[in-house]
This record gives sequence, C-alpha cells and structure tokens, in this order.
Amino acid sequence: MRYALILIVLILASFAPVASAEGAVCIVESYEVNPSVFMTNDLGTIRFTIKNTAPTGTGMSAEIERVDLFGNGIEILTNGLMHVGEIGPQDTIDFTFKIQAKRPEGTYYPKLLVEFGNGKTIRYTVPIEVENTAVEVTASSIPDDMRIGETSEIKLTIANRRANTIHGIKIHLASSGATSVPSSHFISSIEPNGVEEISFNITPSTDTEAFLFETSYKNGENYHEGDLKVQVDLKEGVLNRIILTGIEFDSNSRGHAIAGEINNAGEEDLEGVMIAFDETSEVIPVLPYKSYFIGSIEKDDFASFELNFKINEDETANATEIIIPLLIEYRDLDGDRYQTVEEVVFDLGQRQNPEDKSIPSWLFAVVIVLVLAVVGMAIGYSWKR
Amino acid sequence: MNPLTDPDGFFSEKMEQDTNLKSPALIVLVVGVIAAVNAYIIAGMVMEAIAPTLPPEAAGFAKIGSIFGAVAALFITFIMWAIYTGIFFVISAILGGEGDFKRLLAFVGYGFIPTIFGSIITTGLTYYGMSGIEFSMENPELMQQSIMADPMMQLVSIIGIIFLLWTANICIFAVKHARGLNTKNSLITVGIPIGIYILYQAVMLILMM
Repeated sequence: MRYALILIVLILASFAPVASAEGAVCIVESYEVNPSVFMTNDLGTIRFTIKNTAPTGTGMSAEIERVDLFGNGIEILTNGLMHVGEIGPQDTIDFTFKIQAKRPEGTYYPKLLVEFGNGKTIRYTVPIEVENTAVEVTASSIPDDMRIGETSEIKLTIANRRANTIHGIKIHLASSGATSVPSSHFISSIEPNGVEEISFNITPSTDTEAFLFETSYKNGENYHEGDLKVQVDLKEGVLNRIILTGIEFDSNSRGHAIAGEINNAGEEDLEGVMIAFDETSEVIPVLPYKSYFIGSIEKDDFASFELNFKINEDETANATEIIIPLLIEYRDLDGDRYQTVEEVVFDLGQRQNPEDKSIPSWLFAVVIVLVLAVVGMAIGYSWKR
Repeated sequence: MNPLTDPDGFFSEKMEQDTNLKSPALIVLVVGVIAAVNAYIIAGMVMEAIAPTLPPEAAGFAKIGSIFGAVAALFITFIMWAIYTGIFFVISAILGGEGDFKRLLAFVGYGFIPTIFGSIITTGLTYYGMSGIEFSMENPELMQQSIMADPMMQLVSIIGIIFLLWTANICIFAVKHARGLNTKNSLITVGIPIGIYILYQAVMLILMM
C-alpha cells in the first residue's frame, strides 16, 4: 500500500511540468519533435522551450542546475547539461536533444528532467511515434502495346500514407536498356495522405520483362529508399502507326514552311495528334505555326499540317542541307500517350529565295530616324516661335 | 500661319475669327478616307487568305466584309475626333479652362493634319508588310500575334506613335487657345490621355518583339 502511494505520487509528479524556484515558476512552454513521426533507426531532435513565468520586474530568476533527457526506449545522443545558469522573469531558454529511434513501431515516452537551484524539478514526458509505413509507389498507367525503339508513357502514383509530411522525393528509372524523359522527377514534399502523379516517356532499347523505378525521400533528415517493378510485355519492332507524306517546303521573306500529311497507318484511330519541331539548334520555330494540333485521325486516314520556321544561320553557315526532326505526339484509344520522331531533309538551296522581299533592319532604323527628325523639327520649331 | 510649324500663332489668329468647322471636318474626312483604304486593304487580304477555308456560300460575304471594314474605319475617325475633343474638354475644365466645345472641336480637327502624312506612310507600309504574313485561320488570336510580331507592322506602330506626338503638339496649342489655359495646363490636358495611349502602344510593341 505504501509503495503504491509512492508510485502514484511519482506518476502525478511526472505529469506536472511546473516548478517553482524561489518564487519563480518555470514551465515547459512547448516542445518540437523532428520528424514528427520517426521510422526505425531514424535520427531526429526534440527541442524543449522552458519559460520562467514570473512577472517582469519582480527579479524572480530561476537557476537551472541540470537538464537531462531519459530515453525510455529511445536512444538519447546528446549528453545532459549541468549548471546551465539563470533564467530571468518572462525569459525562455531552448534545449535540443538529438535522438535515435532504434526501436520497432510503437509509441515511446522519453522524459525531460529539469532541476533548479532550490531543489525543485520539472519532469516532462514526450510521446515519440515510430511508424514504418513507407511511401507507396504504384503504376497508374502502363501502355498495352510497348515496343522496343518506340516511346511510351508510363504514369506512376506516389502516395504518402504516413502521418507526417515527407520531403525531397526523387524517382528515376533504374533499369538499363531504356531511356526515360525526364530522367528523374523531383517532388519537394507530399503531405500526409497526399498523392502525386508523375509520368515518364520511356523508350526501351532492349527486351526486358520489367522496368525498375527507384525512389528516395527524406523523413526529417533521414534518407529512405524504395523501388517499384513495373511488369511490361515488350514487342519487337516499332509499330509504324505514323507515316509522313507529301512533304513540301515553301520559302518567303518571312521564313520557311513545311506542309504535308500525317497518315494513320496503324490498326486503330489516333487522338490528340500534334506535330511540332523536336529539339534542334538548326531550326527556329516561328509563328503562326510553331506547332500544329490536328486532333483525331481515323484508321487509314490522313490529316494535313503546316509548320513555320527560320534557319539558324550561325549553326548552318557551311551546310548544304539540314535534317529537321519532327516530333509527333498522339494517344491511342486507351488514352496511352506515344511520341515518335520523323526526320525530313531541307535543302538549304531553297533559302536563296529570288523573290526575297525582306528589308534589312538598318533601313527600318533609317526610316524611323528620318520620320523622327522631321516631326522633331516641326515640334521644336513650333515651340521656338 | 501654318498649324504644323506655328500652331501657337495659327490658333491665336483663329481665335479672332468665327468658329468654322468646314476645314477641320475636311481634314478629318481625308484622314478617315485614308483609314478606310487601309482597312479595306487589311480586310481584303485577310478575307483572301481565309477564303479557301470558307464554305462557297460564305465567300460572297468576303467582299462585303472589306467594304464594311472601310466604312467603319471612316466613321471611327470622326468618332475619335469627338472623343479626343471630349476628353480634352473635360480635363481642361478640371484645370479651369473655359470656352466653346465647338471651337475646341474645330481646333482639335487641325491637329489631325500630321495624321494625314502618317496614315499615307503607314498605309503603304501596311500593304507591303501584310502581303508577306502567313495567317493562322484557325485561331484569330494567333493571327493577331502574327501581324503584330511582323517587323514591318512594328515599324508601322512606331511611325504611328511619332506622328501622334506631332498631333499632340498641335492639340496642346489648340487647347491653350480654345479653352484659355496656360501652356503648362494645356500640356497636362493633352499629355495625360495621349501619354496613356502611347504608353499602351509601347508596351504592346515591346511584348510583341
């Protein structure tokens, strides 16, 4: 009975984070745990803020003799402090302890002990959650018909099922024998229960049964890794759904134009068909048609397109012809996105247009200066008079 | 006295005469006719370019569209004359100006003389510039961008701004005499609306470059 009474007193004492030091009343004003939810073996910190609540001007300082943290299952990596010094009325002081959660999932209760010069103490218990739920990466869209040498879009969903926010999420294709655009995705943070969708345009160069995506993210300051295997059934040979025909070039003083037809030679209708210049330093896309949206092309049908461009003179000074890569993007009826690059050859002799009516830029300047001079003189003369 | 080179003396002399709207109206009519020709050329070129995309029954309306554009341009010039005068009248009234609206209307009409020269030059350049522009028929916004992004059309805008400054200069003296203001207040009266318009034109020009 006596031991039970002592135990009750001790428990009650541990839940009373208040200590009076020579009239001064100190409390644990706040604490912050980072990360707010640990994973096993995670390193982190707990920061306590102690406040002397004595009114300002009373001179009731509290002398802190000792501050220590007891793990109760959590490893404390920072030593306790002795003879910390005085804390004045309404002043606060922070103590940060580095900790490591080398424990399985569960809730642990490290205890803060603050001893004051007059023998009074604060005992304050903090719950530390350890939860090993990892970030979940799933494939949300995989094309049925992936082919070696053809670009297809794979969509991934990243879900944070943890109770705290994760940061610095990076995901990339780790499989060899395939290239991806972009090479990796970076997401700054995902809130608890948050979901992010990303997509990779993947071009396999060799046969494989699965693509491996590697993920890394930070819980607090701790890096964690995961991976996802996406099973695919690759087929040999590019399915030549898209064929360009009737390519013609036209040149005038404003630049050049490519016109032609996009033919759907595949086995199903295509949607969202769009054609544009692929990245190249030799050609500069210009208005009105930097890209050309067609929309749907039925099976065995075709649609006309037109693109406008200028030649980058610096890059083609000694060339007689240039290869212009045209990027064609489309969706199949399942909504899977594809893109293919078709190259057309442009004879640079065509840029020597005999009917070139372009006016040199210096002539513009001369016209502006002349007009400005006449108008300026007239205005100036009117004010002189 | 010449309103182009000595507007101060010109309007001073006019103040001694009865208000006569015939000459200013003729000046504005000439500007309006040039604007109508300009609009007819632009509308004609656009209609010609989009004609292949129109159904056959709509092709006949292309010509009507050009004529409508020309008539609208003529009327808009006269409306702009009245609007300019109205704005100058209101601002000058705030600054203590007094005087007949009809006289101010007549004096502002003389301010359109530089626009005759400016319009002739810009109409020629517009015709030359528009003949080389590829129009996007599917997107009117893209078509406007194509026109505005053309160096020749940008030159047209710059010349238009320069001639507008000349017009503004004449209008300063027009307001000074017609509304009995000092030079500083008439400069403010004309400078505010014309300045805002030129700033808008300059921003649009820079955005399209």
